[in-house]
Amino acid sequence: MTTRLTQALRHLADEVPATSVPEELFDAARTRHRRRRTVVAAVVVVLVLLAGTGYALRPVALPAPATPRVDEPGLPTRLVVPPLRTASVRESAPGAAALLFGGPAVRTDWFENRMGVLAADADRYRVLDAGTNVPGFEALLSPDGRYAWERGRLYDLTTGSTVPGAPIGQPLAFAPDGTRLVYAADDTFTPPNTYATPYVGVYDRSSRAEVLRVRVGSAWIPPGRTAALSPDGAELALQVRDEVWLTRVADAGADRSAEPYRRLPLAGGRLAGPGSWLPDGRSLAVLERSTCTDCPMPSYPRTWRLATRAVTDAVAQPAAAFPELRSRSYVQVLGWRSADEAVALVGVPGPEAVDRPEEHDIAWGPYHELGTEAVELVLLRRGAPAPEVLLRTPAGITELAVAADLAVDGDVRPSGRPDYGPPPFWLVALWLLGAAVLAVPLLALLRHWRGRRTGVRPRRAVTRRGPGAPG
Amino acid sequence: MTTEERARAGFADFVRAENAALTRFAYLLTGDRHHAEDLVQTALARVAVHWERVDDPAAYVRRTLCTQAASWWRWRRVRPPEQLGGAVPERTTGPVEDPDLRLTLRAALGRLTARQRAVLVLRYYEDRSESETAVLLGCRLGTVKSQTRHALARLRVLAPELAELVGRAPEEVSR
Repeated sequence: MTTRLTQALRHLADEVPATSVPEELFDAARTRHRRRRTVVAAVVVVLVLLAGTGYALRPVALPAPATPRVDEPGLPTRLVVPPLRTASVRESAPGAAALLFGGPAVRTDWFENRMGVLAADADRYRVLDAGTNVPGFEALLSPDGRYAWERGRLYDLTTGSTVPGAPIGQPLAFAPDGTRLVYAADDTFTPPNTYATPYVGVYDRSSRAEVLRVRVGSAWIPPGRTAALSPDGAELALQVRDEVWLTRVADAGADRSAEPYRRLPLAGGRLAGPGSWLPDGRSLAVLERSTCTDCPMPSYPRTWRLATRAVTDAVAQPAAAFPELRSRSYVQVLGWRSADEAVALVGVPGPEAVDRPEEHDIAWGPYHELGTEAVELVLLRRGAPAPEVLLRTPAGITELAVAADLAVDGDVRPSGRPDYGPPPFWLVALWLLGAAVLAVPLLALLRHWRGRRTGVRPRRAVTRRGPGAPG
Repeated sequence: MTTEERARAGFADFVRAENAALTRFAYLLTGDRHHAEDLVQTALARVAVHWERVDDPAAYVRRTLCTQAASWWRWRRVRPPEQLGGAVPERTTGPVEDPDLRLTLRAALGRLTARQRAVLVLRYYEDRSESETAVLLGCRLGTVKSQTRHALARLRVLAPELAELVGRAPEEVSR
């Protein structure tokens, strides 16, 4: 009976005449297909461009609120090395920072000019492309953590942008209240090996003007711990060779120059860093260097002891001694919790460090002691047998600057999950490239599978077929 | 002669040779002459685009006709609304064997699903084997068998007078 069904179907179909096929159907179909393909390709290109443009112009993370002083932040309990994908300060502002750090783990062969920034209130890590400057010596962090300062650039970390008008010169110190910046004019060089600093200036951030200029003759002022502004920012203490020059901003003349009103002999001591002024403004902290016999590192006997001297006559003040810092490469006093408690950064030498004599010439550099393998933030308390270590950098981070306010307050916050910010553009480009690399074989597989289903061969497999042999 | 010209000539030859058969095939799939012509033109346009890369244009066009006919949106778009009336349907101009039977068959085919119609047309009009039908429809062999069984069963229910065409029991229609 299926034969009858076949016959019935054929009879039913025979009543239909052949379709009228326009002669131009072939060309019209192919032209329309090419046009559609062109339009689709154009749309894809436009979408890709729009997506790329949209990403490039995407709004970055909202800048952290600009507060004059940090409120609830603290020193982190843990510091990690920011990975390559960490966003830059310009792309995503971290907010007021707790730490500015560097070292071989931060600088890589690809990113040899970067340093790390860690926000004060959360574990937001960012990187700052600020040349080959060393945090703590050539790149400084303001006491409130809002500003990072390297030669000629003052970064506002709450916005990610630079503050216009920053002084051109070598950063030396922030004032304790952060309003004034001390810098050294660019060195002059006289062959074969003589460097000199023309003058040291004080820049006022609020008025965006230089307010003091101290000429130091032929002396060379290295960065790190040679300058300090008094707590009210009105006086500059500057180590010039074996003396500390005290100069008042109020004494500056029309050309902003002023002569020091007092020159204190250091008698073998050294100015102790940007926090050298004691809170009362009547004493200065100096570092006395010696050698130890029972050192933690016998090969590196350099020992430091902090002492305070009156600004009137440089006489050592009678009080209980601060603990010795044995086998430490350098010391920078950041500030004071009280007249008896100083907070300082201390360089920890590595096994390859060499304890060389300290001389007041270019050999003293390069600023940051070679061979330092870690930095410690310590609390030095009069009468204590040993310094209290508040923070120590992990392996690979050998340079550190700390927001002095946080260090002085001593607030510590527990570290959480690090936030490295939005992915940088180069990483997105790599993702897109990887996606394309993955998509190509998938699309080829899809075309192959579709071709098997529909009977259409892949375009590359096309062979010429005679006009009379369509199959 | 360029590649494009060879393709155009090959396509023209194919259309001349297959047009009538394709139209009848499409008509049985859709039950509507205008819809069938539209389907055929669409399928021919598609094969024209891929002409150089299609190994078997006839199979390709038939597969396109089946899938297009089964396309729900297309079916809904072009299917004329069913109207009941007392007028006798227009008499066809084809060979007349049994006009009533033909009308009944056409009406019954129109009540089948698109997939069932495609299976019946391929199996009994084109006289394709089950495996060929499965390849053309892009489905499993078992699907062809079940669809065939369901289609014939539905024809029996819809039009008992077609019993002499489709058989009285499922076992009787196995080929």
